[in-house]
Amino acid sequence: MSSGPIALRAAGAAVALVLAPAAGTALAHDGVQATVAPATAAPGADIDVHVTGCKGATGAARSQAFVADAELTGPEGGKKGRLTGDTTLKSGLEDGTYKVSVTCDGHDHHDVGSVRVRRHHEPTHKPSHPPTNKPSHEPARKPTQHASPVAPVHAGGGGTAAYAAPAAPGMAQTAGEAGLGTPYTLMGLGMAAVAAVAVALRSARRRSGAGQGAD
Amino acid sequence: MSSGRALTGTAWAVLVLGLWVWGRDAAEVPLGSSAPITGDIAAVGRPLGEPLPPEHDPVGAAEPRRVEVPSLGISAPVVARGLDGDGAIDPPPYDMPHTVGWYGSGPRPGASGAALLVGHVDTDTRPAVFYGLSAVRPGAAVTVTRSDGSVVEFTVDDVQVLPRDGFDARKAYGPRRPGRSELRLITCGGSFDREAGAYTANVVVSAYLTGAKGMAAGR
Repeated sequence: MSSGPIALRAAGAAVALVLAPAAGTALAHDGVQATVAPATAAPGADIDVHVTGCKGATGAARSQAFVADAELTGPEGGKKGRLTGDTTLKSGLEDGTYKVSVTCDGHDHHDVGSVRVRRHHEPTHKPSHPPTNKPSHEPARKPTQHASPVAPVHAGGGGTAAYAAPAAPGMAQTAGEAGLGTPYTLMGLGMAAVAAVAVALRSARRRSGAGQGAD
Repeated sequence: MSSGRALTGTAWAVLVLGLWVWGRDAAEVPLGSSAPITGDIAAVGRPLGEPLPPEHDPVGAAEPRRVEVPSLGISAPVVARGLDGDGAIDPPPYDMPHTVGWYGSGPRPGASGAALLVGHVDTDTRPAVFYGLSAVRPGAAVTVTRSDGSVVEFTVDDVQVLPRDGFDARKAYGPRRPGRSELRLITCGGSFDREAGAYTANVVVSAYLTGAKGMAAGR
């Protein structure tokens, strides 16, 4: 028997390893979905989160856009069960779509919903004349009421994050999330292992003389 | 048996590709960089045993107009900015990526206290004014040209990467030594969290006043 079938089996196993994590991921949050109301909100706005598909009566919805996790409550009810919670969007968020993950039934369901953040609402028309009277006093709430800054700045759009830093410590430009991800790590490891085994088996066969001889 | 050879080659290719895919994700650091990505990185660049120049007494207040870091090739106009809704200094808008903002309600550069300058490290497509900031070394000069024509010079004495989680605002924005005239250059750093659309840390360069030129008489 030649080495062909072994290598073919190795390739087949590698293909199976590629597909398996993807299938596993799909099953992990099958049925759990989160919707945010309103779907598009400004930073600092209150939003509601509705989750379907959790079997239990409690859970939490998380997002980088939320000030804090939204505690979810609702009736027991399997797939028809609907959990609801509310939270507030962080102020100072950049415009964009942020993923929402839900923890219920004892484990995480990643990326089961999203919320869109829009900071600026363009007016539908421009005024035809400047305002005829100016306010007589400053608004009661102004961000500059802070005596000094208290929060980290938002000073980067991430456009250079895929490239190597210019010999700059402190600017490691690969993001944990921007890596290929765990399924691909396992896939790569699996492919390497399977191929290594296939090659090892093949050499062993050659040495034992059971193979067809020289290629 | 050329088909055997082709299949052997394929198996090797799968092996190498698999190792590459695995290793690429497992490593998660840029090639060639072994420096820590948070904390005090000043030690990485500090020349051994070289003392920093003496402090200069604070001078009169005047607004900054231009900031330069010659060792990094940074030369940029400075505009006054306020705070955003979170209480963070609001950098200039992304469509002005080569402008530096300063916290207009805070100390002026040259006066006692820490003057705060903020600039983008990048936009969502390209480097911005403070792209190379974290590479600055202690001992480097930062000059600020002010509205009265004077030029005040600061010397960098510290570079920190402060994570957003548990951000220490006093460390970032507060003066290190009371009465001293200090400067902070702040931008984003750490790694970029694509899901959040934000960097995970701030790079905070600290400097102190070491020179002043062109001051009006009596200042």
